Amino acid sequence: MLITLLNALQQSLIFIPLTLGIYLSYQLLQVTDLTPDGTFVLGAAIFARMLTSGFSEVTAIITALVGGALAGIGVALLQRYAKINSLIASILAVFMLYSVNFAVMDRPNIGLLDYRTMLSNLQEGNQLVFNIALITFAGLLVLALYLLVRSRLGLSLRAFGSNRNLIPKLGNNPTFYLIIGLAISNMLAALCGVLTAQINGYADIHMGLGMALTGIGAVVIGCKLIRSLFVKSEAFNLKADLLGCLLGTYIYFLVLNTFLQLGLNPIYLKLVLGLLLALFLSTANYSSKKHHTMVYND
Amino acid sequence: MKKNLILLILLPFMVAVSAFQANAKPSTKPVTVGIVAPVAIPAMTEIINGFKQELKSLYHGQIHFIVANAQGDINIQRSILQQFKAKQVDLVVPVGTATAQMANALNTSQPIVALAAEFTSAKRAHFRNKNITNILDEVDVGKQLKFIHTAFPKLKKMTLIYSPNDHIFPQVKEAKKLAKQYGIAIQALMIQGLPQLYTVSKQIAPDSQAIFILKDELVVSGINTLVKQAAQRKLLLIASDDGSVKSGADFAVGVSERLIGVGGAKLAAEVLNGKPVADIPVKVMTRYHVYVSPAYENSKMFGPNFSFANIKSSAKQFGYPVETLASVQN
Repeated sequence: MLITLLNALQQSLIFIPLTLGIYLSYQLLQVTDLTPDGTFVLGAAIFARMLTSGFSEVTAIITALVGGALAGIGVALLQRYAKINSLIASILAVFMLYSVNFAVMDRPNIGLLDYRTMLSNLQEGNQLVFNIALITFAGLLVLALYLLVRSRLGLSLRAFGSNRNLIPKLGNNPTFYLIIGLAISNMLAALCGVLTAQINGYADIHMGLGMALTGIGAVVIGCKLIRSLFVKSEAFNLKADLLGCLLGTYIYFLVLNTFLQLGLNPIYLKLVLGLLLALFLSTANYSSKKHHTMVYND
Repeated sequence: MKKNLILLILLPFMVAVSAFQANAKPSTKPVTVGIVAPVAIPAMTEIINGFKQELKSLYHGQIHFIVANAQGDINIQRSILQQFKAKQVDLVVPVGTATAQMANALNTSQPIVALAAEFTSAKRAHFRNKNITNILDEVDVGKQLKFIHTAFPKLKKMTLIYSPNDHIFPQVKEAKKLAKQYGIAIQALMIQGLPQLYTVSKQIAPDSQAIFILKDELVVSGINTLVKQAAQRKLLLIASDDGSVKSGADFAVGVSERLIGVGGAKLAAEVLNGKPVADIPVKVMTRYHVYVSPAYENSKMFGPNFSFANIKSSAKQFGYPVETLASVQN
């Protein structure tokens, strides 16, 4: 049982950047953005291609993050200037990113088993040190997002999500906030791709399948649980939400690992996880009358 | 005295026999083998069945197989591999290159025998974790083209339909390059997903004489679409594995999926009998077969230039066994 808990913890810590990115777009900006399915792969692809082309690991990571941010900017521009619904724009973006990712990788799969990276070194060493490093990294990311949302920029991002019509009245351009929000969100998805490529030892053109939905699931499950268990107020509560993101991600992977441990045929895993997610989404919408922050656009 | 003399004579034989038995006796301790496949497709099932059946006959102890399918989800795949690690299975058997890469990155202590993974010995030598060996089943597209050209010297153009699979992509580049040597023009059409297969199959050039597919899981899973197109336009459908012929392709030159599993089982038996996995060389599948459908064997539709007789004579020339496979429609 302890091993299942630890396995789930490790998986969720690697996944945290993507969950936080989804939180930013789905909860704060109130935009359903599925682009992380593509930017997750983009991050892994840029990182793997650059590493195997002789660039340093740091340069590869930074370029991957820039790549993710640029993709996010592209989706924001599609939404605002092409006047395309956010969901459709993100589906279009994933569609186009498939070709971009292919062009970046030049082949469908890049193996990294013969390359040493910071994470792969840690992974092969003491597992306690590895887990502590992952926890520290996730903690720093959560702190960074906390500080961002608490800043003036973060306040404007929240304002964009709560009432888009208010932003122009305050003399600001709403497109700017959409661009910033989606750029950061997709940069975090790319970061998750970079971490996954290092841990799994490869980047693959198909590795992003279902990532955005998993992230949305983790955010919905976590935020719903935290709000129903600990927060009675309807007001926005960043600490509770961020804790919800962490908890939701952990619960998702714990459920996944537990079902496998119990011997559930993996064929039915997606069905069971989908039903669980539907249950949480449904209860989240039912409770939307009480908690306005749980109401989702699109 | 006589008894002692007999004993003295027999003693060296008894020692020799017991020593031989000790050496030859395979390990019989019960073992657990964890098999993980990335997706559920017939080719994977064939490989896994071949592996399980052969290993049962090669290993004399009790074997408990855990077979798990990741349903194309890397999170599920990772969880399965972590469970194998936690359960301390005696052997991890991933199917496919990406699955083997993940297994190699995650499981550094357990031996890994990868099936249908594109790692050469040279590549493996650079891996951080060398606790792995594999069956390299990459079909040499050069050999395939040479065979096709020998059988059908009148073939001037064929359409190669492929997907962006990790091992397919380099083969397509190679096929385009080599086909020119045989005076064959290749029309390469890529699909990104199964729904595109029908649309892409409509783009087959009017002067194309055959459709050619590689050991490409995605394309093979939609082969019925190509079977229909080939029948409508009276084109040959040439594949690279036995399963495709069972599903309706006219013939295939390549390796058997089942034999990939059988080859892997031989490596696995060595590991389970105590040989360090790092000392076991990568096994390259080199035994090619020609698989023919009964419909093509008896057909006169393609004329004398593209008949079964040409295949038979070419196979004889190359030393490839010819096998007629009954069709199993999906």
